[in-house]
Amino acid sequence: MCEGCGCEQPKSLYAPDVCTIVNIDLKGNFPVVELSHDNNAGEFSSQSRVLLSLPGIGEECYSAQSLLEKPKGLFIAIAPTSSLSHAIVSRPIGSDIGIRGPFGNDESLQIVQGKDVWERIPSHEFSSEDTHHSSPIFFPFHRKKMGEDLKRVQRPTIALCTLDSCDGCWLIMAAAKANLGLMADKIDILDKKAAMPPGSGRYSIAIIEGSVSNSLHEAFVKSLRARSDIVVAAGSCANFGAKNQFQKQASSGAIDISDVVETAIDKIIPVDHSVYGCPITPQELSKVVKAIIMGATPFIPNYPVCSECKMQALECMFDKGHACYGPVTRAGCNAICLQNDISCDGCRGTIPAANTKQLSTIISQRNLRLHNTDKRFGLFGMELENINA
Amino acid sequence: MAGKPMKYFHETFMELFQIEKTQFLDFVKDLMAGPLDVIGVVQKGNCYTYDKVENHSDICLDFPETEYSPKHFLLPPKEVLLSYRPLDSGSYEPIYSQKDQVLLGVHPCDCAAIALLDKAFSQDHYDPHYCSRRQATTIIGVYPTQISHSRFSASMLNGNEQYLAADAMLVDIDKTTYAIEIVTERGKEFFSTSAAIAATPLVIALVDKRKSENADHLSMPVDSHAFHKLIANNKDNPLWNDWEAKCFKCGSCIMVCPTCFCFDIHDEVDSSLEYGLRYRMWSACMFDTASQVTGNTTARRLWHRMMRKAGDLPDKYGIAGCVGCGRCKKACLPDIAFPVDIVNTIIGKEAHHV
Repeated sequence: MCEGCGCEQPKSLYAPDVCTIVNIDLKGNFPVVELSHDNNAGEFSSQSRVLLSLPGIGEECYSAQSLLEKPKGLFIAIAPTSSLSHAIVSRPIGSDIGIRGPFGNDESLQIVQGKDVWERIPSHEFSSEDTHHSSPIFFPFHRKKMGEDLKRVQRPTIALCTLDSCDGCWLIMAAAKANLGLMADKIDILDKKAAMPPGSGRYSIAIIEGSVSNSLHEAFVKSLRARSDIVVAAGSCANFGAKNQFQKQASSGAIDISDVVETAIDKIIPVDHSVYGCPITPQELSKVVKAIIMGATPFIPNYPVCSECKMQALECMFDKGHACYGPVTRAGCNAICLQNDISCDGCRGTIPAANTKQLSTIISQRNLRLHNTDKRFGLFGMELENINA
Repeated sequence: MAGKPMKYFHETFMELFQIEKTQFLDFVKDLMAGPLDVIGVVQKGNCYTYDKVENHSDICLDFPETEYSPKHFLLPPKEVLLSYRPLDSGSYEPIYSQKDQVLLGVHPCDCAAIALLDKAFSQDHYDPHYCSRRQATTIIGVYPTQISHSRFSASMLNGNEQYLAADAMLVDIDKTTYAIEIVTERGKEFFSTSAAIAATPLVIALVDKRKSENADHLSMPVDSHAFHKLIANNKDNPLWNDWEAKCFKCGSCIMVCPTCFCFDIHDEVDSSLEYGLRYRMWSACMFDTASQVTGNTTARRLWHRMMRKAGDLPDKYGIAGCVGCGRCKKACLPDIAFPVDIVNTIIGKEAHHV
C-alpha cells in the first residue's frame, strides 16, 4: 500500500515528480534551467545529484546549483551534449519535465574547479546562441511556441530505398512498412534496382538499404541526402558494403565481378543513424525510427554480443569448441544466432573498442579452426590475424 | 506484496526437518501443477543453469556450480519499470511483477549474494520493483554436493550468510534423504504440504558433517581486510594495463556475477506514439562507454571492479562483495577476471620486487 495516498500501487522509486520550467537562462557558458519544485521544497541543495527526464526521450543525471541571489531556487546548468539535454534546454518556459532525487551529491566546487569536464567532450559545437536553432535533433516538437500542443508528436514523411543488395533487408522493410505507416504521414518506396528516375520528393527520414555500386546509385544517394533531413543506413550492405566483401570471396570462382565496386553509403554521404544486422530486424528498424521521431538517441549498443549471450544465460560457444565473433561484434541482436546454437559471424560489425587481436590469440590458443568452407567469417569485413583458416 | 519492508536477514535456522528424496520430487511435481513458477537448476549441454522447470525430473540438486547465478530471476536482464504517454511528464504509471516463484537449489554463496542484492535494493532507496519480485520469491537452498573447480566461497564468507536470504536449506544426507533446515516462517509454510517430518537423531548427527564435506579446493590467499587493503594499495599497478590489453570489454564477468546489479534506463515508445515504456537493462562497468567517462582507460575499470568487490560493497552492506562463486573464471575468455588469480598475481609481483 502506498503510504501517501493509500492506493493499491506503491509509488515507484523510478517514477519522477513533475516540475515546471520557470526560466532558461542562455546568457552564461551553459544554459541554466530554473525549475519549480513545490513538491520537494528544501530537499535539493547545491551539488545535489538529480535525474531529469522526458517520457519517450529518456532520463539523465544532472547536478543542482544554487544561486546567491535566489538561495531557494532549483537551478541546473545543462551542457547540451545529448538528445535529452538538447530537448530540455529547448523546451518552452512553462512546460513540465520529470525530476527524481536527490541521489547523493556531486563533487564540491573546490574539487571540480579548474577541471573542465566540458573540454573532454570531443565534438561540441555548442554556443548559447544556437541552442534553439542548430540542434542536431530533427523533430523540433520541443521547440514549439507556447500555446501549441506540447504533448503531440509531429509525424514524418519516410522514404524506403533499396540499392544493390541481396534483398533480405528490403523484404524486412516491406514487412515493416505497415508498422512504420502508423508513425508516418506518408511513406514513399524508392527502388533503385529498377533504375527509376531519381525523384524530387522531400523526406524527413530516408532509410537506405544496400550498397552503392555504380554512378547512378551515387548520384541518387547524393540527391536523396540533399532532400532528406535524416538518413538512416540499414543493414550490413549499407553500413559496410558487405555484399562487396562477399563478392570478393566469390570472385575466386568462375564469375568475374572484379569491375563491381560496392561501397558503404557513409563513404559517399553523411549518415545520421545506422540499423545493423544481416538482415536487419523490423523491431530494431522501428525502434530507431521511433527514437528519431521522438528526438531521442536510438539505443544501439556499442558493447559486444557476449553480454547479450550472458543475459540470455546461454552456454559459451568457445566452451562448446567453436570459434565465435561474439566478443568483438556489436550487440543488439539479442544473441539470436547463439540462441539457435550458431556461432556469431559478426554481421553487425565490430564495436569501436573491439579487441580483435585478443580474439585471434584465443582462437589460435584453443586450436579452433575456422572452416575453409565457412566463408561467413570475414563476410562483413572483419579480419583476424594469424588464424589457421 | 509490494511496499512492505523487507524482513529477511536471519542469523541461523530454526527447525530441522527431513524428507525422502523421492517424496521431495513428488512434492515439487505437485507444486508445478499449481500457480507457482518453479525455477530450478537444469542441465543444458555441458553446463548447469537456472531455468523455469518444465518437467520435474529435470530438476538437479547435485551439481558443481551453475554457469549463471539466480539473479536472472530476481533482477531480470530487461525489466519494465514504468509506462507513460510520450512527452507527458505527469503520466508515469509503475508496472510491477506479481508472479509468485520458488528458486530451488541455491548454493550458500548465491544466498549471500541475494542477501546483498536485498540490501542494495532496500537499504537507502526502497526499490519496489525488485522488492515486490523478491517478496514473491521463496528460496530453497542446497549445500554443495560436489566440488567446483573455481569456487572459493568458504574463504570469502563466514558460513552463516545463507540464512540471510534462504527460506530453507537442503542438506544431502545420503542416497535417499534430505535434511531441511527451516530458516523462515515462509520456509516452514512451504514444506507444510510436503511429506517432511521432524529430523531423526540419526539425521541430525549427520547434518554438520555432510554440510562441510565438499570443501572448496581453492581459497582466497588473504582475508577480507587484507583483500581490501591489497586492492586499494595497488590502484596504479601496471598489471591492470596488462589485463586491459587482453580485455574484450564485453561485461561477461559482470553478467555472471551474482552481486553485480548495475543497470541502465531506456525509454521506448509504442508505434502509435501514444504510449511508451521505461525499462532497465543490465549494464556493466567493463563496457567501453563506462571507460569513456572515466579517463578512457579500462585498466582503471578493472581495478574498480575488484575494489567494488573487496571494499565498497562490504563496507556499505556488511556482506562480502565477492561471494567466491568462481563463475567469472569460466565466463572470461582471456581469463583475467578471477579474483583469486588477480590477488595471487599481485602478491607474486610484490614478492618478486621485494
